[in-house]
Amino acid sequence: MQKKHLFFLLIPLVFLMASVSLSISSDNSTKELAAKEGFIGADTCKGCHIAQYETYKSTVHSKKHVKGPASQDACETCHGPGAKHVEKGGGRGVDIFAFNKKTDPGAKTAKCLACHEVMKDQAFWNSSRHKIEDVSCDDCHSPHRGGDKLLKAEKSEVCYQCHRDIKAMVNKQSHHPIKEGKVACVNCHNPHGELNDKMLKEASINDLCYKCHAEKRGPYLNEHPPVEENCDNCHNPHGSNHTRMLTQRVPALCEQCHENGGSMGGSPFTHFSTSAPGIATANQSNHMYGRACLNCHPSIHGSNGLKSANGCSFRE
Amino acid sequence: MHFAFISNSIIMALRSDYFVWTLKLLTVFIKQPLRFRGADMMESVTKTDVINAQNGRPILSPRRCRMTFKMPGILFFILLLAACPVIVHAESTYTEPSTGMEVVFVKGGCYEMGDSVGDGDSNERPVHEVCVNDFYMGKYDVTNEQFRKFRPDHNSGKFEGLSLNDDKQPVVNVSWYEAVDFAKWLSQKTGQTYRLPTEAEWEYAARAGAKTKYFWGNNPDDACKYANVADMSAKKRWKAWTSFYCDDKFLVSSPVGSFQPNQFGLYDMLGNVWQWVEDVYSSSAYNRLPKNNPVYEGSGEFRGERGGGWSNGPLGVRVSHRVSLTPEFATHALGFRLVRVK
Repeated sequence: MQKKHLFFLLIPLVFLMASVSLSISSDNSTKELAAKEGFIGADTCKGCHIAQYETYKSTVHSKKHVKGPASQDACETCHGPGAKHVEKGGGRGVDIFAFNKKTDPGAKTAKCLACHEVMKDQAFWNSSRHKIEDVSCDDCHSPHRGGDKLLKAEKSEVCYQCHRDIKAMVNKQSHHPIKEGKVACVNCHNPHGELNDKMLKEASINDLCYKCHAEKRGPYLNEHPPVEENCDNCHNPHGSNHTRMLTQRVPALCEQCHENGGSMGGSPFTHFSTSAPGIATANQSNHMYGRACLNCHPSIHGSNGLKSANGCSFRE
Repeated sequence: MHFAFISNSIIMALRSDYFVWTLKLLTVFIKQPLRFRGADMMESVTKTDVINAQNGRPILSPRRCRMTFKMPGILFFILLLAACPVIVHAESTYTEPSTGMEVVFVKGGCYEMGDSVGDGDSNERPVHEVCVNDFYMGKYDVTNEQFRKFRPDHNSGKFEGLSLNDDKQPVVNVSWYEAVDFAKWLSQKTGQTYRLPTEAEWEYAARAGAKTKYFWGNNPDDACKYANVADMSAKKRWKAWTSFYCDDKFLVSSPVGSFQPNQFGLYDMLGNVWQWVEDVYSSSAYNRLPKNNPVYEGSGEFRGERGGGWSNGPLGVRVSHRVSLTPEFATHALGFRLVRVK
């Protein structure tokens, strides 16, 4: 084929491509317009809701480079199209999506998940206890409040809104430094859902504890079986009135397993007694008092020392 | 002077006790000298006659009224009747001297409260009969000038550069509490009882006898004669707004009384600015409040406001439309008017 003929063939091809691309773009703009029907823009919202607008402006959602409301339709990204609401003169929940107690929690959460679903933390939201219990994002977060993670209150205080029993435990004399602000509920739990029990961040309680208390992990030559099994056997992680967040006072705690006649060589009360087993006598060692068992067994989580002749361990 | 105002005055005159007493006195006065043979009829001007008069039918039907007058008597009779609207108008309006606030007498009565047309929101239903006592209602919304007599530093502000703070514009950016404080202040100052209208009083006054969507009928295109609303001129500036298809010439709030009044002689009952009412808002109030002088003062987070404003379209500017806001809320299209208890 001659070059001249090729040129004449190309011209209609170019026109064809141009018209196809035009029709596609016009179709898109029509769709966009249709999708935007009923939207009025944040400037109108601001007219009445200036306080909410100002607080929203101070949050990450208002930053244009973040894929959030500001890069979409600002207020109406979450609250839905507002034209009817404006026409009717407003009012809470009047032809507008309001995040109040009467609104379906699932619908409220869906608004947030429209953007946040892809985040790693939210992966197990649908199977979480919070979702099952009809908790929604706005119970803890508010896009109209600044602060860390747009939380409605300071860190664990958000959790205490519902978990008041835990708040009571945390205020006991022996507690994790939650109220001191050094750790928070979210250090152990993922409120957005996990596959683990109690929405814990690790598969087992021990794994979770070892993240901070690595020295208790072992492995040890002499292992203390309940430690290996579950830290909760002896400790209450939310707080206790006994030292070291123990569930009971020592030696009562130890006696749960090391009872009289037990396999571990008898009760601590008979451990130092020269009289008959189980009878406290004047000869009972003063070591039994004060720190009790831990006076002689300080490495209660496990030890690497040799056992004594009578099988005693955890002494180093 | 508007035609509506004249016709309204005549209707008010016909509704008034004064009219009936005028007829009665007239009867006594002219009975003997004019040999007025229809005197008995005059004694029996009934409610039916008044309703007839309201509906445009002659109160003195030829069949019932067979009177013989001499010429001077007829002239005197006509003169006295013609004076009726003026006298009644003078009697039924009152200007509070310290603020210049005018109130209009609204004779109590019963009416169908709620969404009488059937296109309103669920909180406007069920339509139910409500009766209210006589009261005086602010002829206009409280203006900036009047409010500044109470709180001299009040500034109604601007909306996108357009002033809302002129003396004759209605006061806006006032919370429910500020409105109540103004009423208390005025009551203390005058020794009379001023307060916000109840929802029932407000709707009775706004309807002025109408059973339609707006007090002027059901046609939204007539809005711009009677109310300052979101109109075509507003639409040019704020394209996303839903507006009435007419032009009222005002972008934001207008000076009070710029539009035609309703049949009770009240201006801006719809449009211009929203008006706070006394009631605590309850969406289910229509199901549980008494028939006579209902007002809900139970527990609740919100207070009601009525009437629609200059930024609202056809769905918002309706006589039965109800909106609730927290009492602390204040915005560019929310003001109030007061009632004076008789």
